[in-house]
Amino acid sequence: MSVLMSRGLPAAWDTVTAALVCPSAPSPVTDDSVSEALTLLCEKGLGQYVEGWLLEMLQVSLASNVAPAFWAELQHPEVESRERDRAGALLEAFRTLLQRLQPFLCGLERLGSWQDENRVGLPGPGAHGLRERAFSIIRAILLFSPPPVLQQRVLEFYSRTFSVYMSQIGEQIESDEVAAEGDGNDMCTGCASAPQVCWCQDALEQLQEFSHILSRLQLLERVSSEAVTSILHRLIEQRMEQRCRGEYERSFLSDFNDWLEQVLGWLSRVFASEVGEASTSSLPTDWKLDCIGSSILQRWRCHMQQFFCRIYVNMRIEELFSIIRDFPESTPAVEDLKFCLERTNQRQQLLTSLKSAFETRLLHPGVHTSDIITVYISAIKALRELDPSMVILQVACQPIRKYLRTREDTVRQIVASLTGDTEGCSELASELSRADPVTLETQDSEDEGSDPEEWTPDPTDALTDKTGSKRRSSDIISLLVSIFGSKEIFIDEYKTVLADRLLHQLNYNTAREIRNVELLKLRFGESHMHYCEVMLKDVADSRRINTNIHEEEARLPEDEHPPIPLSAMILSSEFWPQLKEEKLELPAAISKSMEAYTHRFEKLKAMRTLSWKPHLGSVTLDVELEDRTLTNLSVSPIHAAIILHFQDKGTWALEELSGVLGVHQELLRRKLALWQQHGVIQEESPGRYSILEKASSRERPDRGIMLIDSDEEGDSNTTTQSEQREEKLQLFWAYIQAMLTNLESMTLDRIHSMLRMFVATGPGVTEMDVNELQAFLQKKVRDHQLIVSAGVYRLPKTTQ
Amino acid sequence: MRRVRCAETQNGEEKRISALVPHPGREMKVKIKQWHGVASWLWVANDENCGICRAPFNGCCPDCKVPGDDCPLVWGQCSHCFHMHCILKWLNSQQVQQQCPMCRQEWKFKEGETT
Repeated sequence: MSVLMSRGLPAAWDTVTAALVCPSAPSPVTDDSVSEALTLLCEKGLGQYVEGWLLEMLQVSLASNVAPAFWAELQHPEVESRERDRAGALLEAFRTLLQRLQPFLCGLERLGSWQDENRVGLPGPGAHGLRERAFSIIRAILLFSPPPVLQQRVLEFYSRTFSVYMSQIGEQIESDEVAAEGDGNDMCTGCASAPQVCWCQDALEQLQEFSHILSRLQLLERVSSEAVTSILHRLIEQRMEQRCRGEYERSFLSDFNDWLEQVLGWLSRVFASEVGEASTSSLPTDWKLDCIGSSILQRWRCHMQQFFCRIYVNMRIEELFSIIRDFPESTPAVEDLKFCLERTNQRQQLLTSLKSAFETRLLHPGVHTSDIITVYISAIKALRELDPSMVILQVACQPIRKYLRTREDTVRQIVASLTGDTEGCSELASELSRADPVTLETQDSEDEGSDPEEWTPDPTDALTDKTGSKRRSSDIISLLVSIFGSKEIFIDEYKTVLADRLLHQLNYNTAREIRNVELLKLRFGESHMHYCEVMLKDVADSRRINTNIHEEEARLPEDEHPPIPLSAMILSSEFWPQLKEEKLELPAAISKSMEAYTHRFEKLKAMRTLSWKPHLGSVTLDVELEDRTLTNLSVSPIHAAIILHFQDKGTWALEELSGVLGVHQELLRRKLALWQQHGVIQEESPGRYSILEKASSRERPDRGIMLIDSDEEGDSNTTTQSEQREEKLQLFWAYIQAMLTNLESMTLDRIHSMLRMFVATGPGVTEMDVNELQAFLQKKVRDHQLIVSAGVYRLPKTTQ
Repeated sequence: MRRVRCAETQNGEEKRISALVPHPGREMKVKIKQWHGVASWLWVANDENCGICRAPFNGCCPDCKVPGDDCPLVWGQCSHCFHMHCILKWLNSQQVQQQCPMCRQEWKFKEGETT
């Protein structure tokens, strides 16, 4: 028996190995003998080597034959060959690969099943473990250093099958090549070849088989992932460029999701084809594979969504300035961005990019202040949609606010647009008239109405300053007003604007201003708008007084009628902003009429008199010349005074006229330009002006000088904001001097805080900020009224 | 020629006559249709500020919002003047004798000059 056995040992080995590597031999016949041989081998303690031997065989065969043959075949068709052939070759290569590895795989399967059944005590890791080992050997040897050709081919093949798939389910892939080629001749959209040679169907079948082979060899993830990832990334990027860039008025999320589902359909063909395969095979793990398939798809879905969000956010961040500019038309884009931004961690990137976009595109001297304000308003609206916590708004718009603070005309622009008299910027006016105004006072106390349960913490990028989330307002007007830290400055500016308007139109029609003041009262509180109310009341009173006085005049006999129809706007000087003081001697006739008017006023209002502002107001007049008449000219008093003097005397020297009018020559020359422009007066010789009676005699002089006066017309009657501020600060000069006398030297901050402490009760002190004070002190230093060294101010010795 | 005529027009009478007389180079005529002037009103008082509230007369007393008719001035026979509301408040607070807060003379309204 033992002899038989010892003789039978090589035979047993042969039997077993033959059964493992040549499964094509009729196995049922040898089954018994195989198990006998196995038993023999195990008894001799050789059972464990069967496994090692088989794997070794696989490895050797793979390294020496199979793998080189595979690569050679893959390389075989040269680059010039047709795409279709390349796809075929790729498939063929893998087909051969599978075919040549098949014997080993079957052998492994068999050995594995023996081990599983634990037949004759054969040791080993079982079918599953064996398979794992075998496949890792295959992967290691085959793909140890794959030449790039594999990826190229796979990529090309997948791209093609993708476009075939998409075209078959009716989706046009707008890839560049298809668009270019599909123009003239009708190509198949799927395979980009003529209809008669269309290989769409083939391609899909090839895909099926290709995926099948790869999954059989467990190479699917390894070979496909990279190609699929790059295809999807490219497609998403491409699609995004084509569809979304520059297009803010449509939402792309649902569009993208639909598309994603289609893409997943293709992916399921790539990855889940093993499902179909599994069900036909008798492997017990097919339900598991099914799970793997769908979990792979799920992973890809997440991956694509993530990728989409990232790309989308990147693109929108680049475009955010334009999106803001186009708001509210760009609302869909903002909503999409909000959705995606919540899924990617790119807030910081967005903030940095937006800030720098503002700085480069908006905050430079070439942009008009009103445009900056308009963009800021859009930004407020857009960013409060994007980020309800307002942190982005607060942080990103910081530079705008800082910059606006440095512009001189910011307040004027804001006030002008608040009252709706700038074109283009009507947003603020409508914002002002919104039904539920946020009063600026009640901002601090807002505990009521907000449920503590709904509290959310600030995002991490919030500014940690004293204005907590509570104070982070999204109200446009509050935000604009708070640029300057106080509303007084706005109210002062509004007063100035209102005064200007009232003094310019002089028609006593105040309906619009009354409405504005009422609206502003809701915003700023009654007490602040009190001065404006008095101003409006003055207008109404003036109208009444005028009517009264005119009626009285009408009762007089004909020859006592005043020579000039005069009406007045009578101001309560304490309540109006400071008016520009200009000297002007009016012609006697006018001053007489004014005196008469004053007398009547004094009769009407006992113990009160009038102080005329001769340079303010407006005059309507006709000028009759020899061959023409200018009718209903509306000019300022100084223009009227000039032309009246020319009525008395046809020619004036500049200095002579300047003496009579009490106006500086330079100013007078500019004012004369108006009449020159009308062709009424000419400058005969430098400094001498005379009337042009006949239009024909006027040789057209160059228009250069003619237009000098045109910029005068819009001139403000009130002193400018900065002049007023200057005056206010001048008030403090006495305090500052006193402080410096007592304390000798002080720093800027010290002076500022002292002023705040001591002078806080005065009007308009609260809004004085350090910069302004510094500028003021610098001016004093330049005037040698103050000395500064090492940041410390002191008084010069001589003044003490 | 114009010089001469200008010299004649120094006198308004003559000017009117010369305007009536037709002559070849008719003078320019300016017809003022409407003159809108601007003026501010003020109290004819010998001081700027009310001696009681220290606010300007041309403004109003601390209790008022609107100056002028709504917050008039009154004069005493001692020729001191105050916002009416201010002096009335002052007089109401004096139990014994009603005196001008400035000169301590007995306060009497100057008739006919209150509004």
